Amino acid sequence: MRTIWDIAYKDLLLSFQSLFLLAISLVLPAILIIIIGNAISVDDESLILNVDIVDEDQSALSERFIDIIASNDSLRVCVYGKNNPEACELDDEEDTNERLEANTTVAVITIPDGFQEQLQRGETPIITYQSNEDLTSPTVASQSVNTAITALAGPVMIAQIGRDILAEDFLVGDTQTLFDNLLEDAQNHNAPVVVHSESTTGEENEDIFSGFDQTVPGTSTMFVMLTLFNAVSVLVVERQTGTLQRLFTLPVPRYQVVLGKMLSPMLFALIQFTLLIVVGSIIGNVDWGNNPVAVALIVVAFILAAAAIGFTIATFVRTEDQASGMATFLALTLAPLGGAWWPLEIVPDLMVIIGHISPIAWAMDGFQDLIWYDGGLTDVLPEVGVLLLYAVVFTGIGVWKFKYE
Amino acid sequence: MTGFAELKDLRKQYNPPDGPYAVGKDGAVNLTIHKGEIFSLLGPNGAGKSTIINMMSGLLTPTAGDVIIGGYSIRQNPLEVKCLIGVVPQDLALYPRLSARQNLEFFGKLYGLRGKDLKQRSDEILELISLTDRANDKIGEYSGGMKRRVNIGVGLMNHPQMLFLDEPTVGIDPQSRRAILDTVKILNKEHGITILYTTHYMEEAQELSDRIGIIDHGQIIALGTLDELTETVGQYDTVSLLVPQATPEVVQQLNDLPNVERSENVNGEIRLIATQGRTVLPEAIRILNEAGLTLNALEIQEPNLEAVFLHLTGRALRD
Repeated sequence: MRTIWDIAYKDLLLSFQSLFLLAISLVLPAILIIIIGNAISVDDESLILNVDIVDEDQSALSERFIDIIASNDSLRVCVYGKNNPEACELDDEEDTNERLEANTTVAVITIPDGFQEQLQRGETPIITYQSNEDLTSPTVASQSVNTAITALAGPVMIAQIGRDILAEDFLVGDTQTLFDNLLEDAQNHNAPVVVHSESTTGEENEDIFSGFDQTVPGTSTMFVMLTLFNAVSVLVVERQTGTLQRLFTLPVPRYQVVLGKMLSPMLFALIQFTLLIVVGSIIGNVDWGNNPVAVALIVVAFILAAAAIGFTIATFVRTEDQASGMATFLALTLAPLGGAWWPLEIVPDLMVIIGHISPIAWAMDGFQDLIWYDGGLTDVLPEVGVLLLYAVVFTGIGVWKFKYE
Repeated sequence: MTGFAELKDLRKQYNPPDGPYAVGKDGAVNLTIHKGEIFSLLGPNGAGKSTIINMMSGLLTPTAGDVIIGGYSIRQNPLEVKCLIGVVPQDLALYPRLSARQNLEFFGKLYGLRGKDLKQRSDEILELISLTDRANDKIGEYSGGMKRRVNIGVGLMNHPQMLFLDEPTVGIDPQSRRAILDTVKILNKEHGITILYTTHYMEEAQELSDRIGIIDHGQIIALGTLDELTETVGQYDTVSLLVPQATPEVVQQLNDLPNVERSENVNGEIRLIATQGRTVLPEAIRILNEAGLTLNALEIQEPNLEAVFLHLTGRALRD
């Protein structure tokens, strides 16, 4: 075992002596993570939609209606004639069409004059809903209006019925006060049924999706794969210069020489992966879940799988150029295929199946379990198992085909 | 002397059963190298010298036969054999981004040396190859000759009883070549290391060797001391005539002269293998004059390995 470490340590020393290698392997992916992560990140503010409201009634019920709509965190309600947040200052009604056309607002809701009176009389007021959205498919804004109508209509209906019964049967004189009191009581009651939504894929993370959640594991797996595939070049160069053959003439079992040669790039890849995870956590605020063992398992299993594939490549190439070309081609093919550049959720089902040829797909599945769905150790075991299977199969092929002579 | 290394019925065929033979196509190779001697394998490029060393050092597996070194079989006890030998490959099998000391210590560790022993042995080797002053410079900054010396030094890290040197002077300047030849002699005479030396330079084999095996097309075609080998060509001299414009007709005329056994023309150098070479000269010069050819240089060599190889194969060693 000491021999394996001696060989690996020497190769690791040579790797860290190469500034170019360090720049390509450590600095470049960190920079890419920062650029791409920021580029595809969606901030909280940009998720909030503007909804303009023209309140021609200026009544208690119209204000109540507006309050209900405004209670939706995804909407920023801008009411004409009111003091609005800086983000939605409104001057006059002429703005509405312009704001709709400019997509500054997603909808303009007009509450007609006499809204409250019509409701009190049991009539049906007509609220105007103008939108630049597709009205055939419910949106956050239109759903919110419907919710407000439902939330308002129920108590109003209760108050109307109560007022009519009490006024008729008990000859109550002040029907307006009676209506107001009943309406207030009805509004203060909690909803009898509340629906709690859960994702079937696990307990969904409450954080808003960040581009770093995709970029950090994606870029990391791709560059680690590049590192391990390119380690093939080192093996080929050593074969060409004769140092590999010289190692085989020493009183060291051949398997120890091969293991030493494989261990070095794996240790380098481990350092590289760890560094990129740290960068992602600090700069991209990526939450890797609460189980570091699960993260470590995916990382180690992925490194073993990629190293085994790299070792197998070494058995088929003869020159440094072939090795480098093959390594780059395979890594840059398997990376997007496996979801390193974009989530496999957005590709067709067939491509999802094909993409899982790539070990990156399994690693990304594991990381998504942890980052997106707050998964634990048991959630990532299937992905880890598949990655280890890759490692076993390709190591077997590599040992079988490796040209010792 | 006793046999220290034995090649027994050795053959090497690539991609059997139909692939080409590198060694032993027309008969298995058998050879005994005695303890304490310098044995040279002399032959042209591609003759099978490196293949034999590679099989002896365990890098190549023989297709047939075995190699016994120090009583151990390379097939049965490869690690024991590798402990006894040092290998200096033809390639500069070193790490150019490491210093000479780092290279020596890396390989030394793989031989099992640690701590003080490792440092002491590295110092000894650096002194032996005269690189103590440059020990911490990267190999990549060395001259070709210095690299060759480090290449030899690595092969000595384990105090080998037998050292394989595979064409260690290829591509280096005369001064470095001289230094390497002197080092080989010191290793043999002062340290008692048995040497197997391969080369295609006749002069090196003549200068160094106790015994010489001449190898061609994977077969050892002659074996013995220098005197024994030159005796095989009797009293033949080699008469070399440098005639750049020589025509085949003129070469044939020279070949037909009395006492001339054989002739060849290698890039304008006509070589006549002849008994009593000096007696041939007057007639040879007459033929050249009649043909209007200019004789630029003339040399007569007593019997040597070049003549032996030419005698045995009909080709010059450099072909």
